[in-house]
Order: sequence, then structure tokens, then C-alpha cells
Amino acid sequence: MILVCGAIADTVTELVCARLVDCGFDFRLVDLGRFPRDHAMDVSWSSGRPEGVLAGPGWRLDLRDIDAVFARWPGPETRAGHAELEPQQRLAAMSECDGALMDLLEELPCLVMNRVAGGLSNHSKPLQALAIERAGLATPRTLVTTDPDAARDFVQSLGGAVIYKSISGVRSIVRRVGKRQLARLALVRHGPCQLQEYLPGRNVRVHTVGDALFATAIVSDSVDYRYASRERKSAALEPTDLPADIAAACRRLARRLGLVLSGIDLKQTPDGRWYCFEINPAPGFIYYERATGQPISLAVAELLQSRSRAPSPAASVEA
Amino acid sequence: MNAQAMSGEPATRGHVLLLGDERDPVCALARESLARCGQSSRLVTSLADLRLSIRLGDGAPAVGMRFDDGLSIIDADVRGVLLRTASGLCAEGWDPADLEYASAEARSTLIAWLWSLACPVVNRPRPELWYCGQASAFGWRRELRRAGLPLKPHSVRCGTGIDVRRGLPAHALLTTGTGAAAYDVRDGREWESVQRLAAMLPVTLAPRHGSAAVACVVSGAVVWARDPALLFRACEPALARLAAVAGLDLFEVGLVDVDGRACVEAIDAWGSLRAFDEAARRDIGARLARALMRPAADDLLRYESAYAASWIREEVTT
Repeated sequence: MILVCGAIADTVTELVCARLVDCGFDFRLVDLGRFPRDHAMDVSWSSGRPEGVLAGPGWRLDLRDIDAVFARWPGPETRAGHAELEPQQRLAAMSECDGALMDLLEELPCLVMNRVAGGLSNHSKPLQALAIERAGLATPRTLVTTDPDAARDFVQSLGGAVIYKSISGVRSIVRRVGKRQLARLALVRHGPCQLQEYLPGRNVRVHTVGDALFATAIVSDSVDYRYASRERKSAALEPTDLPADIAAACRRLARRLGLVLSGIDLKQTPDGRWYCFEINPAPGFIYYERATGQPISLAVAELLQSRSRAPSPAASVEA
Repeated sequence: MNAQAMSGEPATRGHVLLLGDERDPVCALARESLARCGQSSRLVTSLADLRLSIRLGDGAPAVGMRFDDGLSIIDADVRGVLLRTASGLCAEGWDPADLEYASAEARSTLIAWLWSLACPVVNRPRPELWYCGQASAFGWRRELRRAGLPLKPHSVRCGTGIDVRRGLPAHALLTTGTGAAAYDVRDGREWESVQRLAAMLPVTLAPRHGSAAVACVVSGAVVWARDPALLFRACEPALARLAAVAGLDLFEVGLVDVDGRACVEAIDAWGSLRAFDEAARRDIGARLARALMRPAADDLLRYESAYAASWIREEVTT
């Protein structure tokens, strides 16, 4: 049986559920928007692996019957929460709920798309950059620093063609370093910043689903195409192909980090070189699928079903 | 200036950095043990103590550190790092609204720094430890399983229609999944409270066991707080395996007897050494100093390959 662990109010989880329904693949949903309300978890750890049950509205599933899992952890905005709790208590309860389910998924002996631990390097972009380089992908010249002098030298050495962005997993808009930022560089003494050489060229988002790979080219006049419309700029998406060595490195990177599903941000510069910015363990692939029609959610559904011991609809018909 | 040379003499064989607090007993033990070996050490209490630069994307990572007393060193000058507390920022002067973001940035910088260094780092923190804390033994299930060490039996329960008490003795221990604190559950009123709590969040319940045998595993060697029963001493090879698979050069572990089987009850990846007498501490300190001064060659690769291999073998292919 396939288990989906996510919030139905989250569009990516909703798309995966819809695709599973469309394919006729049976699944059970732990709706994190409501969990543990309407749900139950009774798990014992007396040997190496967990034993017990998960239950939801109208279903009850022995852990031994779970063959594959799709997991996506939503933010508090999609959670109903307990009205009787104070906001801080609500967050703590949410953290406990997620933690217990994450711990369980870490130890289920089946395909889990994705286990949490594999994606934790995404909380530190420079840490992740080390993993990216060791997987065989080039990363842009980058400086993480609390040294104003080093920051100035770095910007100068690149002729000012430098962007800045967050170091941690907190999402930030990528922006060019300009006069205003240069005037404030002394402040990095009080907190680190990440500076990176600005690379011209074509952005390519790669989604890996197991060994399947979907590359999407993004042509945009915005430094950060994700926010192009906010800046009244454009972003055009279309399917593309990757050189074999870059495709192999993407698969290698995802595999080394234990990510069955990933979103890898690449850039191809005008001189034909490829660079990798980061690998996202919880990619919002719906944006790319909607824009290009690339069958990413179908690949997700089919990979989950390939591990399921329940007969597929086609097999049932053939039988 | 917060950074301070702790042993007075300039280092002749590179610098050992102690990331922590001068009141921390393990920092003090490391300082004393290193000094006995003629190795100087330098305390770094937070990222504010130095101007740090990490350069990536142009070959091997290059790290530069400038201290307020004028010392300027690069990664090759660092012989070893002891990581105790993970204070990234000095909170003073920050707008509370910005502090959370700035702290996340600083923590993410610190872990990247520690993984950019080729020298020994005790303990080089894997992202699970750094970001999730792994405060309770329950956070180490995967590593324990791989080391062949059983975790004490426990249940995780929540939701509607669940009897939290099922199969448990009248007197049990309640813990949360994310913290190390444990609470006794003894009478009917306390069980009713746990039942109500389980409607809102998962509760972890376990039978009580006798007092734990405490060991410190340092650089692969096992040092016991008290002479242990044979049952526990027989776990020493598995404890050394746990150190290897978890990538820990220093940690404390508590073992309990569960029906004649030694099971892990607690793991502390930071180690307080509170349970250890002076002789045991000196032994631990000597081993810790040797771990901090061992040759850098392949240290980082050793951790990385063990880490990657565990994922490739277990997590993707299953």
C-alpha cells in the first residue's frame, strides 16, 4: 500500500493524490493538516524496526503493509491545529507530530520519498555546496563571511558581478549586490552573509524521481526567476535535455543524499559550462509541471506504485 | 576581545580550537589534556569572536580566520576542533525579529565551516545532530540498528481511539520525541492526563528499568563511569561500532538491563562527564586530546564515506 503523508491543502500533495487517483493506484493519506485529529498512531519499538498501525478516516494500516511513502511536510499555514492551545503550544504540538512521523518514516523498510535526514543539508547552502562538488557538479565561486574586508575583496575581484542570498534554509530572494549593499558590508561583522559570483546564462531546474529525470529550462530577465512576476519581469519555461555527464551527476547527487525526489537548480553559462546552485529535497514541482506538461507527478505515482504489492489496475484487468 | 589563548604559549604544531564555554567541563578537560601534551588551544565562544571566511567553488574549500588579537590563520593551521556549544551569534543588540533569521544563518555557517576543515573535529556534526538535536536516544534508532545495539522498548501513540496504557505497567516513563526530559506516570489521574495529551500529539511511553550503566565512548574506546556488569561490558564492540556509524568521537551512553538484554536508554552526543570520577576524566581527557591531535589525513573523507554509504545502502535501494 502507498502512504501519502502531507497536507491536502498543499498543492503538491494534492497533485500527487490526484495523480494516484487518476492512475487508479490505491493509497492512504495521513493529512498533516489535521493529524492527529481523525487519525491514530500506535507504534511499538521492541526490535530493530517499528511495529504497529497508522489509522485515518475510514482506514487502518498495519506498518508491514506499507510499501512506499510520499512525504511532504507543510508549514503551519496549512494546519488546523488545536484551538484550545496557545500559538506557541500549537507550534510545539505540530513539531512533536511531525517528529514522530518523521522518525517512523526514517525506519520503515520501504521506499520513502523523501526521508527527512537526507534533505537536512539543504539547511546550509555552503554545506550542501560541498556535497554538490563532490558529486561532480561545479558550483559558483562563493564567499560566506563575517569579514567585511574579505567581502569587499570578493566583490572587487569579480568586478562587482555578485549576488547575495541566504545561507540557511530560510528562503530569500536572490539579488545583485549594488551600491546600497556595498555601503552596508561592514555590518557582516555582526552576522554572516553569502556572496556568490553572478553567472549569466540559462537556468535549468532538474527534477529527479528515482532514476527518471526531468529538465526544465527557464528563460528569464530576472535574477531570481521565481519572483519574476513580482518584479514585472518574465519567465518562460520549456522542457530541455541535459548532457549525459550532467544528468549522471544530478542522479549521483540525489542518490548520495538519499533523495528519491529532488529539485536541482543548474545554470548553463553562455560558454557552455554548467553550475549547480542547490538541491531541494521538497521541490514544488507543480509549478514546472503546469508550465511545461512534463509528467513529473506521473513519475512520482508510478515509482510509488512500482514498489506496491497491491496489484495495479492494469494487472487486475489482465488477470 | 572574547577569543583567548588558553595555554599561554603559541602553538608550534597548529591550533586546536575549542568551540564552547569556559565553564564547560569538557572544554576545561580538553584544555588541560592538550596542555599536558604541549598543545596550545584557543577558546571560541561564538562566531563573533573571529572574522571567518569560507571560499567555495574554486577548488577545495578555503577557510580564513582572523581573531581580534591579530592572529590570522587558514584551515591548514587548524590541527583540531572540539565542538561543544553551537552558539553562532552574540544575541546582544539584535532586533528580536531579525535574530531568529540571523541565528539560522550563523548556525548554517558554522556547520559549513566545520565540514570545510580537513582536520579532526570532535564531533563533526552531521545535519541530523546539528538541526534536529537528537536529544533523546530515540533519535538514534538508525545508527543503533546499524551498530547492532537494541534501544529500550517503547511505544509512540496518539490520536483518537488509542489506549495509551495498553501493554504498559502501571508505572511508566513519558517522554517527548524531541527532548531528553522524562516524566513518571504512576496513578490513574496521570494516565488520564497522558490520554488527553495523546489526542493532541504523540506521546512516547516506556516501562521503567533499573539504573543505567553509563559509559563515555571516546575515540572508539569505552570508559565506564563505574565497573559495569558483564552484560554491559559485552556491549563494548557494539558501542565502538556505534561511534563509527554515528560519526561520533565523544559521546555518553546509558545502558539498562531489559529482561537480561542490554538496551540503550540514553545517548548524549555532547557528554557532560558528570557521572565520571577524576581518574576516568583524566583517561577521557587523554584520549580526547589524542583525537584532537591525530593526523588530518582522510579524517573528513572517513566521515563522509560512512555517511554516504549508509544512505546509499539503506535508504534509496530499499
